[in-house]
Amino acid sequence: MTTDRRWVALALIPAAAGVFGASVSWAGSHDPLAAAAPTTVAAPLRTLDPARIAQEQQMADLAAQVEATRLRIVELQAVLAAQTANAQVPAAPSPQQAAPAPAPAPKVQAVTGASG
Amino acid sequence: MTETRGTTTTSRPVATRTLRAMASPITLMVVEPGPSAQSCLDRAEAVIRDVAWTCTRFEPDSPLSRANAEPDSWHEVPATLGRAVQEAAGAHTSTAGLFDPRVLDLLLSWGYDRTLSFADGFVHDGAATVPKPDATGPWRPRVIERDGIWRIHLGGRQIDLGGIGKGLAVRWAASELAGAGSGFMVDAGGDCAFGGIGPEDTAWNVGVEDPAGGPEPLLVLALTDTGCATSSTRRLRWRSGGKAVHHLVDPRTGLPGGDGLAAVTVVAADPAWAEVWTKALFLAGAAGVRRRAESLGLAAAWVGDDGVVGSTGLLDALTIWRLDHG
Repeated sequence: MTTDRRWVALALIPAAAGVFGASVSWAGSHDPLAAAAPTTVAAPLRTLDPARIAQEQQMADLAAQVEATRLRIVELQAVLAAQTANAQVPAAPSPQQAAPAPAPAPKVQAVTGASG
Repeated sequence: MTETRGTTTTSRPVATRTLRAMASPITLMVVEPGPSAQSCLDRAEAVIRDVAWTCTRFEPDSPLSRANAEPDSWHEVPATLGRAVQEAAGAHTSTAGLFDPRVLDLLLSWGYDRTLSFADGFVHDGAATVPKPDATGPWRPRVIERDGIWRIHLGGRQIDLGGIGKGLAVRWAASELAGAGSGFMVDAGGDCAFGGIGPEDTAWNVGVEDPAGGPEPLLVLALTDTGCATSSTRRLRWRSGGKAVHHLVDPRTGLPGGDGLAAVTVVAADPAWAEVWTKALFLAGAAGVRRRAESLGLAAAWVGDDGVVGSTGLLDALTIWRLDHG
């Protein structure tokens, strides 16, 4: 009889352990003093499209080219304005410098004039 | 005397012939002459000599002189004279009488009855006053051609075909040279015709003479496939009866015309009509020449007695060089 009682006691150990574990777990989850655990919501993963990246890079490159061209135009306009101003205001000839000779008449094959 | 020569001193080879006719040096030129060039030059020269003989009033036996001797009679004449009178009649009508070959009476009374040495300062001791012309209405000569026979009636007055005669000679000579090469020129002094491309691979460069005798042209024109003519008082001027006269007579007044003008140049398709229009413009005088030239739509330039050069926009478009008086 003693042996039988021993085997029953051994069999009840896992059951008791299970009840205990469940009790502890229940108590833990129902402890009013326990601090509320922060709730974090995982942000969705940002998926980057490689084609879009390439397109954005291309747009940036083109914008840079446009800006460089605009600056070049401004430079050329300044040069043109300077040249125009120089052409309209001929330099005063120095006293030693003779006026430029007018272009000679081109070679002619005939002359129309008085006859007879 | 005639001289013919070929040369390659220009960009393109040319054949040139020079002669003297109608009191002017004549130059005929063919650029890149083809096989027929010499015969074309022969015909062109013959045309000029024919006009010079037929239409001169300085040779007593010329067909025109014989018709002038009896201007109230019918005359059988060479076709050249018949066509010339026909053209002169048309010019008289088109210019409302400004072109009038009957001014010969006045020229004769001023002593211009022969080829004169104007360069030597000819003086005619004629009447002290310039005679007025006879009362005249429109000139109405009659020209009939039948079976190749030409007859003319001068309408009772002797005529001078000098100016238009030279223009017609240039026109007809030019027609003989067309096709003789890649280009051609007929230069009869004041009256010229140009076809195709000139010897320098461009249009023909034509200088407009300074009527004051300056060494350089006043303008240089680029011309092709057209004629041009100049009327100027630089050479044909003299003194008669103590007064200065010239050959450009205003038939409306019987006096030398063109107050304030020394020369007029016109570029027109036909050299004979270019000659006619120069006279019509000259008689407008300095005050009216621009308005008349523009109203007629002419490519024209003129030089005042003061040396000032004027021109129409149509002539400006042909001008490649202009003398800068500074």
